[in-house]
Amino acid sequence: MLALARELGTRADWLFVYIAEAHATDEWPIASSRFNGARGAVHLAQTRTLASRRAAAAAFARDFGLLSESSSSSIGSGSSNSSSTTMSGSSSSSGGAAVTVCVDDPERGEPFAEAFAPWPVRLFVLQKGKRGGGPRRGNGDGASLNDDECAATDAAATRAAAGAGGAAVAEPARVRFLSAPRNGGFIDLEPFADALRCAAADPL
Amino acid sequence: MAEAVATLEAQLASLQHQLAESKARARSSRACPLGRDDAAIPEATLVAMLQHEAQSRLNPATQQQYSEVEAANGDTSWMEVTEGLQRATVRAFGFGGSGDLEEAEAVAALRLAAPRYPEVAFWVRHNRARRGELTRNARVPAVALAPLQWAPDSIYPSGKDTVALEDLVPLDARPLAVVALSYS
Repeated sequence: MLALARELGTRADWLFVYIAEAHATDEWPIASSRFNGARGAVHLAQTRTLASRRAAAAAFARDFGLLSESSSSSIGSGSSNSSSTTMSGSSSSSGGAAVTVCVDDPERGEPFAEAFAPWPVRLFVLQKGKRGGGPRRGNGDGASLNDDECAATDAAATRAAAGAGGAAVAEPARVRFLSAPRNGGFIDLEPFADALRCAAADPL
Repeated sequence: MAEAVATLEAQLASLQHQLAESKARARSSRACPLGRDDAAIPEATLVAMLQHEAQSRLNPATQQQYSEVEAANGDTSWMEVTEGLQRATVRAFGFGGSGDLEEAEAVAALRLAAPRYPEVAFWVRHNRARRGELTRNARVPAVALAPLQWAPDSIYPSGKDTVALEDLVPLDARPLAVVALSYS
C-alpha cells in the first residue's frame, strides 16, 4: 500500500477509514500479528465510543506511519478539503501523497459501514469527474486493466462526452472501484492498484 | 414346477438386489450427512459440537496457535488452525473414525449448523461481512466521518466534529484511494 502511494505521489489522495475491529477480543478473538511486525498479536476490544475508536485509529496511524509529525497540513494538490498529512515513507516534498485518517463513528451508527459494507477490510477508489458521459474508466469486477485498456476506456469516454456536447461539467464523486467483500482469505491488492493507477493516470 | 422355481429365484434375486441397493443408500446416508439426509447428525449433537467448537476457539492454547501461525506470516493462517479444531471437534463426537470422507462431511455439517445458532457461534454473530448495495459508478453516498485529529490549519471550524466524505474527494478529478480497515 505504501509502495503504491509512493508510486502515485500526488496523483492520488488517500483516506484511511478506521472501522469496527475485525477480531475484537470481546467478540471474535484471533490473536494475530500477521501484519503487525514486532509488535506482537493485536488484542483490542471492540471500540464502541468515538473516543475509543479514535484512540485505536491513532495507534494504528502511529504504528504504521500513516501520519507524519513533521507535516500536519495537506501537501497534496490542495484541492481536497481535508486535514491531511504526508504518507510516511514518501518524500516530504510536494511529491508525497496526501493522507487523511478518519474514523467511522460508532456513536453515530457507523454511517460509513452502513453505506460501504467495508468490514473487515475493503478498498475503494472514489473520483469526481469534469466531463459528462458516465463511467470513465476502471474496473469494478476485480479484473485488471493494462495501459492500453486504460487508454481505450478513456478514449471511449471522451468520445461519449464529446457526443454529448463535451461540456466540462463538474460531476459528483462516484465510486470508480470497490473491492469484493472479503470473508476469509487475504485481500487482493492488484485490482485495486490497477484501478487506482488507471484513475490517476490522466485526471479529467 | 420348474417355471415356478425359476420365477421365485428371479424374484429372490430382485429382492436381494433391492436390499443391496437399500443398504448402499443407508451407508451413503450415514457417510454423507448433508443434502439427502440432513438429519444424519442430530440437531442436539450439532449444537453440542458448536459449543465445543466455541470453547475450542477461545481456548488459550488455540489463541496461542493462532498467534504463532499468523506470526509466521506464511501461506498458512488462522483459518487452517480453525479447520483443525473443527476436525478435532467432530472426532470428539465420534465422527471421522472410519475415514476422512466422513470427517470432512461432519465438518461441513458443523459449519452449516453454525448460522442456525449464532447465540453459540460467536464467529457468525460477530461476522459483519456483507456485500452491501454500493456498485461501481454509483454516486458516493453522503457519509459523515469523524477526523482522527484536526490539523492546526484545518479549514474546518474547530467545533465541527465531522467531515463529509464527498468533500475529501479531490475537486481536480484525481482519485481518492479509500482504505477501510481496523487494527485487528
